[in-house]
Amino acid sequence: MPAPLGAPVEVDEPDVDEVVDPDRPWVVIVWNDPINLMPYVTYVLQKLFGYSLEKAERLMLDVHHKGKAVVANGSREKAELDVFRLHEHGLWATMQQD
Amino acid sequence: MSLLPRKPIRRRTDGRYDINIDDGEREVLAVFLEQLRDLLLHDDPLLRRLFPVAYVNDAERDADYQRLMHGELIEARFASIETMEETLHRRVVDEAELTRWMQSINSLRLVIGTRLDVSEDPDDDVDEDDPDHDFFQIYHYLGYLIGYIVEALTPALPEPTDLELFDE
Repeated sequence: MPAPLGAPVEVDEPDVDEVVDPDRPWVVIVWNDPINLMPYVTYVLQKLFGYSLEKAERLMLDVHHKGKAVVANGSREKAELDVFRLHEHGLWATMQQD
Repeated sequence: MSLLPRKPIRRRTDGRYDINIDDGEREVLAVFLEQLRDLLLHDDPLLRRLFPVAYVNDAERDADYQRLMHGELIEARFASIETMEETLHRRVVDEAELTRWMQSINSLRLVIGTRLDVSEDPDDDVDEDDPDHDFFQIYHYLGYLIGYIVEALTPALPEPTDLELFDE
């Protein structure tokens, strides 16, 4: 779909329920899975995002009990890199606009 | 002499890591690494947890993402397997090597867990006659190794950054 002059190149698909805003930050979500061990998930979150043990554990428990948790946010490029690194460590991560 | 059982992986005082597993275990790992390599070469559906979607509600965007990143992820997996195979008989490895062991072992666990269709509850009492019995043994063994690897690598993590990235 061609973008009008002056608009950002990235255009989000229109959604009747949301205001389209290409500048909205992206969030990275980690989903629960029955295989990855809790200490492993905690370790990966510390390693990839520099979180303290307490914060990583809290996020891990959110993933475990709530089914998913937002673990990071930022630009689309950063989110894609975060998703890649999480996939590289075997976690199921997805991204979406906040 | 120690009364405590030896940890299979343990951080040394010099910042490297002891790998205290016997030759039989190393051979089993070698066999499974080769099978994992084979699965990767044939794009086997058992690998689906190793290549998850990135965009949940956007098939087109996910296709773009996979087009760019799928190959990189495959390469990363092959590199991890290669490093682990090359160091499989070592008694001492460094942090980078142990990290690759961790990634390979976790990949193996994801594939075997997929094959076993595991649920959240650990299946501790699998009958010896169950055809999947050996796979369950391996699955738990790999989990045991992961636990010790994480314990060994954790002191090497850099200082946490104190940024609160978002409010919840």
